[in-house]
Amino acid sequence: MKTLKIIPLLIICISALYSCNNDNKTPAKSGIRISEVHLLTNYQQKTIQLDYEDAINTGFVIPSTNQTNNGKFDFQFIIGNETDTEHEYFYKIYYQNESYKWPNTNPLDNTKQHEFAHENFYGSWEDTNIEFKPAGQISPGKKLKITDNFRIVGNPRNERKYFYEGENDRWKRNPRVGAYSFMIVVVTEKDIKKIPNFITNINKQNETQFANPFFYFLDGQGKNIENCEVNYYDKILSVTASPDLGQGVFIDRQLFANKNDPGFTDLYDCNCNATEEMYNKANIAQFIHYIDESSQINNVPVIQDFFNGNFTKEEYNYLRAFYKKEDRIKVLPQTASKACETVKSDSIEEKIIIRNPASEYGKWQKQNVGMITRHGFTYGKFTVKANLTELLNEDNVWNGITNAIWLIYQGGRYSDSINWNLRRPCKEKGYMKNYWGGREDERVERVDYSEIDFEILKTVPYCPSSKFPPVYSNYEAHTNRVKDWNTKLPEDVLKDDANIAVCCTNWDLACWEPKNFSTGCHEIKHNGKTYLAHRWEDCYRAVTTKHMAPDNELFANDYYYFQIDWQPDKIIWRIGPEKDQLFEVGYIDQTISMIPDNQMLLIVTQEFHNTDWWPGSPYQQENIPFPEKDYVGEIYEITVE
Amino acid sequence: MLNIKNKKLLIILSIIAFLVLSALVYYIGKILNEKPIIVQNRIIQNEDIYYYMIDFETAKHLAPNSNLSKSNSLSGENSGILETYQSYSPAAIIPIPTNDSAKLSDVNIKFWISPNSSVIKAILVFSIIDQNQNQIHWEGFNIDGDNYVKNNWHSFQNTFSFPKNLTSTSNSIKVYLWNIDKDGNTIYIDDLSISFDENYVPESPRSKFIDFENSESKKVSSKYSKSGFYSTVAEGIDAFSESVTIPMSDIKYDNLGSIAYSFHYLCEKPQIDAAFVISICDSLGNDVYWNSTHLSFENHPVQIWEIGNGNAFIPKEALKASNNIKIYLWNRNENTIFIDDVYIVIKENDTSTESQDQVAYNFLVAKTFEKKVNHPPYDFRYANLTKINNKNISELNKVFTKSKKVITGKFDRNNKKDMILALYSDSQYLLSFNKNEIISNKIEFKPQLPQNYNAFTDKGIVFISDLDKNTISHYEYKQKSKTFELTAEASVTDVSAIAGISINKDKTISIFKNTGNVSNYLQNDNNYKLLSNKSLIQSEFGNLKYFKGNFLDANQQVLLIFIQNKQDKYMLFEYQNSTQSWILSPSHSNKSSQSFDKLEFLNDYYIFNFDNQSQVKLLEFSNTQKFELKLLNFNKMSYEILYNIDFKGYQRKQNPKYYEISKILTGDFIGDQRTEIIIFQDNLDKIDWLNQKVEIYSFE
Repeated sequence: MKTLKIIPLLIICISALYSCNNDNKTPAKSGIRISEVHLLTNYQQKTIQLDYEDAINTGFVIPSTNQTNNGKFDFQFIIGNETDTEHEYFYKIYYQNESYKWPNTNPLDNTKQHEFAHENFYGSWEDTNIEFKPAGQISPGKKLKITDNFRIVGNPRNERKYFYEGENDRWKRNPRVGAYSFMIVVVTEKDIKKIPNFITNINKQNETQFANPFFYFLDGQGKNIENCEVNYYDKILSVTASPDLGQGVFIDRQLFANKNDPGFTDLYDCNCNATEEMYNKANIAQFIHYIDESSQINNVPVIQDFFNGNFTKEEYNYLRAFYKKEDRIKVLPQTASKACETVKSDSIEEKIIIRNPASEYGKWQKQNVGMITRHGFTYGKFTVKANLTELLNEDNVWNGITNAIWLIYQGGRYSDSINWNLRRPCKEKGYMKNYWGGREDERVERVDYSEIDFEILKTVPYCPSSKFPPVYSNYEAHTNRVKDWNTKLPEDVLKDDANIAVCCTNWDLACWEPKNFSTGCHEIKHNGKTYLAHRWEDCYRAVTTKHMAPDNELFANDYYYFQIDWQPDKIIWRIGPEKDQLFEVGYIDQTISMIPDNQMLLIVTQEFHNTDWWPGSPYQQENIPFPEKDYVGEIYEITVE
Repeated sequence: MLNIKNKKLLIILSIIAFLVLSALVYYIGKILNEKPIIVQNRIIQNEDIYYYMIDFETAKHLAPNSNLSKSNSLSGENSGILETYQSYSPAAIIPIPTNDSAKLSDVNIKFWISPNSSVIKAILVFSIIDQNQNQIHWEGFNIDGDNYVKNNWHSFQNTFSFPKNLTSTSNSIKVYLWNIDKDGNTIYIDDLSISFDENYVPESPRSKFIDFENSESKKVSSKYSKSGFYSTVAEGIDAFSESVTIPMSDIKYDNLGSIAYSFHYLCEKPQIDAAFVISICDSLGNDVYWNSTHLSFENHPVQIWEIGNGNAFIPKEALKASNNIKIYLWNRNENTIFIDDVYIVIKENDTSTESQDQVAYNFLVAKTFEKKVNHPPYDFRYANLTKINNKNISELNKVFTKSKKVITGKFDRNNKKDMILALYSDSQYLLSFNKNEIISNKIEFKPQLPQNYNAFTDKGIVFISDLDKNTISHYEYKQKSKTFELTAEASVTDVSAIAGISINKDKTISIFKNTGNVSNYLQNDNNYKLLSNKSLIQSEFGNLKYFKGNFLDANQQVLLIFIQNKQDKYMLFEYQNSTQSWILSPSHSNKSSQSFDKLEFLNDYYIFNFDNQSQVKLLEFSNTQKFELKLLNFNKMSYEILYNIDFKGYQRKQNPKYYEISKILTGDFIGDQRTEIIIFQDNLDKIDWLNQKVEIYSFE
């Protein structure tokens, strides 16, 4: 009971705190005093978790009807007329995400808007046709209390490019996570006309570009309007996201090439299916890899329990030497033949389980498996707590798996729902048109493809280039000379015998715009650390930094944390045993690579890569046996902050 | 008179001149005539290259996103499906191969359709598209009938004139089937062949359809038929259907890579154990290649026609004009199986890069694994290390390093386990296993062993051949005195040629020589008396190996693996009590059928009881290309490689297969009614992680 009594007291205190802070803001010349501002009167916490209910259809709304009584943030303030004459007043509230934004002002000329400030996530009332609301007439010396509400929604500018057949697909530009600031603008009837309509109606553009109202009122021409009072409230609310992983797995049938095969739906169950209910409920979908023809391998026809102690370096060398092409099996890494077979949502423990299925004679498979989130974000600190499969066994031989935690651009509702998620134009040379294309691929100004990766596998660093590639001994298949086939790995490689490479990659589609765009190894410093970013050639579509880490630390414990901190101008990759013990392992910024700015989804996969993609790898995929047992990975928690 | 004479002479000369001139004209004409024939041949050869077989198994020549089905097919697994009114089959798109319009006068198209009703209403479209995919020519071949046999495959063909003005390698022909049946009956299309052959022959040398309607074989039945009135039947255990023989010379075999086949079968009882065989035999009737699709069902629907199919990869060495392809069903149980409508398609090796990429199995081509008999990849079975006490391990080791000769067998009548008899230059030891202990007993031979000898055994009896005296001594083990005592002797010519000695059911013994001869002896007191001598086979240069066991059934057979005419051969013989002679085993075809992986004389072989069944298997050991232990089984027709054997449980990294030298002994040393492998391993050079060792491995 005592606790209950304290709550109103706390509310009063918090409200008073806001009020106190804001009452101190006294207008200089406007004659308008805004006081007793209470911004979120019906929500008393500083942090709000995104509500995933129905967000797949509506996009995230902040707050949802589950979070406040009316599904809106109520706010109130008092307008005081401190002039000698009666005026009619108008007001408007704006919000802007502050954690993931470009500065409002151009750093070279603070009277101008930053060239990318229009990309910032800002909004007002979701009906953009409601411009400034009339507060009414206020006599000199009098005050008027305003009570109103708003909510933060996707596509707050109601941009047509996010519409599909007349429907506003707000989920295509979801609210960003992180801190939000608010701005209340009050203006007289006389001066409202001085505010351009692309500010009063954020749906409108200033010529060809949106204008950021925060720049306009705080740093631009808006701050000079005489009878206009602007009150800015910095980082009042923090938004985070954490999808419930126990809500099921949705099967998006259009992604499965084999959806019409008999038995495809055999493994549907109540927590994994393609029903409308699951479409609305599940936060996770089964991810189906695109399998490129180039990833085919002539694999040894051997099935091994990889972690039972028998698969040693010697066995690898033996298979490599003695299994000629005519003994091998040509396969492509597979994808699931049946929906729900390799991904499960555990509704009790609220986790996702993925598994690369075991092989049996006649059904040799190296199947890529994974999960994908269904709600896209632009920017954020994506943290994944997971126990993915171990990659190295006792003898430090690789099982051929790449554990990947990555972001990929979000697609539309249907195949014709295109061009809504394009990246910012590349002004130098353009982007390579297709992510899979070759050197001669066409260059275009804009693409939608974006990808940010953690790819964790057994390979070698490419930098410094003087040490790459490692020199491996040649081997020959002589049954009567063990030394001929059982060659040793070079010392340089053995130094990292128990380590795996944490490869941090940004796919910039070879846009040359960054000022330090380069090929080969390029030093880049951050937080006192020097990273070596590598790009094969100037038409290579991605840049990678690598960090060697013990396999046992990342994958032999109960769990480990992986974080992609995607900011507008940089990407930082961190890992660690606990969320408060993360350390940086990769860094790429806009000086060397185009950082994506479109909406992306998070994917967690366990994949079999063709090692031709990873030159210098000590173990080649084709000499690694098929799994005798499932390789299981568990994802316990995903947060976006 | 002279004038008359001169006239006669002139006439005669004129006749002679005329004849000579005629002959000259004839020969010159003949020579001149040959040219166009040669030219014509060349043209046919060139045009023959422009032949395309679309079997819908791969994406080659097919438009992207083609609608394929696995639910019905003529050859292979896939066919094109047209499920609804106005639907299209996968389109075959083939770039026009030449700019020479003279070589593309006609386009001959042959294809097969299977309807799910009696109706086929469809149009086979022949069109030409330019490089921008614009259609620049369209022609259709109409099929309209309502009297087709439902679910059967029907052949159609048509010749289209190729528009000369469109002959350009930048254009492509596009061929597809268009379903115009308003009732929407589903039809399937398969094995679409397109050729630019001017002299089109309706019966393709690349496919054969066998419906048994004109067969004169006694194995033809009118009880059931898939099409027409007749089918062929195989009734009862080891019965064979009619064997269809196709001379290799009848087909286009020179670049033959594989034979895709489909067949319809019907059973009268639900349990099916049968093999649909495609074999290739030489002019003497020996199988040079043998392949089968195994039909094994516990509960198969009866009296219903089902379709089976497969694909046999044909080794190059089997491609000879004098060889014959044989197709038949081998029934292996009491059921009665009917076969009808067999269709084979000759698949040529594609000379493009991908097809040269021969792997054991290509999942990119056929996504469902179809096991090929005696063709890798094989399934693995693992032999597990049996822990034994190291106390006498040096004695076991010595068996492999010091002995002159080692044989295994049940020498002690009181011990059901196999023992190892190690014969050294100055001593003999008998080793056995008791609860993981190695028991090593020094034993004696009475009388002592000769200086130069060889040793053989059967049924616990040891036969010592004296290489100097040309005698065979029969020794039996006496446990009490730990001695092998002489029981009988025989004089034998050329004992160095002995490959094996068999003790027969009638207590005679048979001495098999590596020449292929067998001599039977009857024991008479302390001597063996020669009964008979017979040549079973002729092996080359004494290249013959002898094994005895019940390979096929409860009867014991002698397996001879030998070289004849430079080829690896094998035959199984059985002893016939009534005639006291060895005959070819009636339980085996004895055609020395070899498959992709041959039963090679050069490999080592061991009798092996893998699974405690009455029928023994053969363990094949080869260490030339790589360490290979294969377990194989004999059957009526041939042999089948069942498994590759690898090892588990060895210490650290010391897998026996890594060693440079391996020696193997097999036997049931533990007494579990199965065979164990004792393997000695060593290296020529010292390898620090591979110690010399001897181990025993067994199967669970």
